[in-house]
Amino acid sequence: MKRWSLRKKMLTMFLLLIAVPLSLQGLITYYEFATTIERRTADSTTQIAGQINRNLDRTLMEMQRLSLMPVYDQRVLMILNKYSLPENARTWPSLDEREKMFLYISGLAYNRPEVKGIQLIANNGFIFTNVDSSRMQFSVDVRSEDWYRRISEAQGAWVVIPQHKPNYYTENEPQTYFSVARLIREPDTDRILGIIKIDLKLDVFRNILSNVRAEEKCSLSIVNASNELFYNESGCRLDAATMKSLHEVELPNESFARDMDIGGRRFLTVVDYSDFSGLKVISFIPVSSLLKDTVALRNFTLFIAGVFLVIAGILAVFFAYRISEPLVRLKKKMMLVERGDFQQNVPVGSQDEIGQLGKGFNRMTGEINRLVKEVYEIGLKEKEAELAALQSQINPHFIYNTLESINMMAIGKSNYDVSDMVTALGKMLRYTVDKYDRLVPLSEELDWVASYVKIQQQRYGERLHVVFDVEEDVRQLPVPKLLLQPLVENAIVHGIGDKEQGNVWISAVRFGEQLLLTVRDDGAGMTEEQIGHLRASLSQPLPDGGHKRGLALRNIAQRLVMMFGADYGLEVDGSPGEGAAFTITLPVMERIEGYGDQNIAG
Amino acid sequence: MAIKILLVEDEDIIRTGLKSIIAQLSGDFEVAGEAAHGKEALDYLQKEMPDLIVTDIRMREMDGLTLAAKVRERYPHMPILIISGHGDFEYARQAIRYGVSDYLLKPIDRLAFVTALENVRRRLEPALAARPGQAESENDAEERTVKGDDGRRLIRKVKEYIQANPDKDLRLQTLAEVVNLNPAYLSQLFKQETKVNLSDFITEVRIDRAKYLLANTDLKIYDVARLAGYQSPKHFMLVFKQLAGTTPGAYREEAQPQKF
Repeated sequence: MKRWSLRKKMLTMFLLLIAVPLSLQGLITYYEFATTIERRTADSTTQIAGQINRNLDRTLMEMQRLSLMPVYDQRVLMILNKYSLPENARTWPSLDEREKMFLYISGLAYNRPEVKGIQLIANNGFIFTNVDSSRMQFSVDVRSEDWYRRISEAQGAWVVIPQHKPNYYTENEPQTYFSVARLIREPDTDRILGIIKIDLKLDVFRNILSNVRAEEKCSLSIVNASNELFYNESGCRLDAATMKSLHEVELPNESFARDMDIGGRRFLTVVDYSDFSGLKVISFIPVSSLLKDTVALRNFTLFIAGVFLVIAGILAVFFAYRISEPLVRLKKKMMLVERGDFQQNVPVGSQDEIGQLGKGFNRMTGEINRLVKEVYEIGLKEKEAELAALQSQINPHFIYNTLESINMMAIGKSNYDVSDMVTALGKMLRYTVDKYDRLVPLSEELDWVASYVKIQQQRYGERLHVVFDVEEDVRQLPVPKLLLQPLVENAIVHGIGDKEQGNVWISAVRFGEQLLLTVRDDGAGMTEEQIGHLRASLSQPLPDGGHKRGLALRNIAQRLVMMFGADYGLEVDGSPGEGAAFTITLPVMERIEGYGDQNIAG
Repeated sequence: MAIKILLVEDEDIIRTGLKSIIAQLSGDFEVAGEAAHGKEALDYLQKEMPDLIVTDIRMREMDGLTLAAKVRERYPHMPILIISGHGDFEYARQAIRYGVSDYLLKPIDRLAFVTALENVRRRLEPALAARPGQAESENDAEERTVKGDDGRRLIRKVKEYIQANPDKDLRLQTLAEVVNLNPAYLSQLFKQETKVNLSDFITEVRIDRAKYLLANTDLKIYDVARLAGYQSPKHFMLVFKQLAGTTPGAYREEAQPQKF
């Protein structure tokens, strides 16, 4: 992360700032909404389940009351009693008795459409009923039936029997019923006189459930305390396996509402338990169907968040670029400055910190540039000023005319040495004073050196021998003015010294893209130590006047480095007793503009 | 027929000096008239017709540039030679406008003055400049050719001279003097005889010498360069590296391993 570019950091930061709150807000909204919906559904389903169970209770309470009625009717008790006696075990009731019982039972079942039939089963196995005789068998063995066992086991308490198909009905298609039943005991003796069994149609449930909206009874079932199914209604599509696992779930006998994981799916499970009947109304609602609306909301939220994220991302890219772009530009310029190119400026577009940075940078490079120029140009200017002073003191025209007079006087007297010397002096003066161009063709510099040598030769006579060894094709190459004279002067002074004769070689050769100018003498030379000192002093800063020794050489060396860079400069080598060589290395440059054949300004 | 010169110069000494230079030249030039300033020169021009005017710039009465302008009005092709103490660009520019032949700066270099006069003469007398004797006289007797054994003998001599003196002055003109041949011809003959450029041969001999010195002595690089004929140790090192493929120091290390 530390190595990331500013642009990358800003982009990441922007995107995080946008994405995190947006996602959090979306998530919280989604969960809040989902929870609310689930809670509301749970509440309403609990209410409905409770209502269903209360209605069932009411119906069953009625049936329980009905099941007690025979105990309070003497005639019914008498008839049942009669057929409980062992002697009547094989005797069937008379038509009159059956008629009486039919009327009594019909009275019980009067105006109760939910009741299929009420059976009073005497101990000898005869079944008194209100059902039409064409649909009944009055004497079937009921003792092996499951419901019979349940009734017996209840010892006279009322029981609710789950769905079953009674074997005494002779319908073509046996229907399923559930029943309320109990043993009938003689009030005084507590003797068992028979069984009353009220068969109820499943319509009971259907009627109660008809008020419930379809989506709320996705899977509504009613079971007893032992989780035996009484009724089931399914309002939504669930596959068989899920249905099966729903039916197999064993729920505790209490009322509650909670999420349950059944068959790999989450269901909101609401149970209402009736203490009276022991029946449980169970509602399973798949959470996924509950959250159908929520999912739509979530998808919409996600979509909006995505759109925002894209827009924000584009904006982030734009801003990150806008903010970092001037910095990147500044960095590039800074690298150029590091490499020594001080002519750098950045456009300042804004007034913020970055704009101020840019301004500061511009001021800084400007200042550096100015200082560099100042240091370099002050040197040149000072020299120009010195020359200007010299010029203002002495009218050059007067000097040249005087020299010319001397020249002509000498010629008049055939004193050609004097003429040559005066002419050489005049040329030297002109070259030194008149020219302000910094670069001149090598040939001009060499002409000037030749003039200087000519004058010196007049002084030293035969003792001084100077050899010019200059390759023809380097003569027109530009060189900085006044480079060679200090070297030649140095070579003459040290080269001859006290010797009888001294040689000075001045050579100019081109090697590749370098121009090598060498001045060598064969004088006293230098020891390694002296060479070391001289080399060190060449790279020292120029002193502020005073100490002048070696100054000219140092001046040359530093001028070269200043003008052309560290690859160029002045090199010194030598050997004790065998002279010294000074080599100037220059870049080979194009010919100078404006220098040509009509170079008359000189 | 001598070329007649009108000399315009206000200082007597200089005028006398110029006259004496002109007098020393061949009889092709003569000072036909003298004037101390422009006015006088114009008066002279009323009566006489010189072939060439040599004039100073700064003079009393009328300066040289004004004179040049007036002369141009009458004689568009009259050669004018200006002598001036001023190197100022403005003067030079004006002079060019008036079509002066040359512009010499004081103090006058005798050689330059003579060359300028020669140029004028060539312009005035094309027939003279084209005379065949002219070119020959300048190249004189050094222009001799050699053939066969003679040539081989000379080249051998040159080679021997080079091999004997690798540290000495081996410029083309010096070598030409040794065998008394024209420099250009020597260079050509050498190439013809040996199929090698003279300068390449010299470099080869010098680098061989340097290798010998590096391998057999403890001389400093400066002295090796000097004794191999290189004035610049740096140049020597560059050339050595190019030809030997290694630096002089590395070469010595290889040649004298026991010393390192």
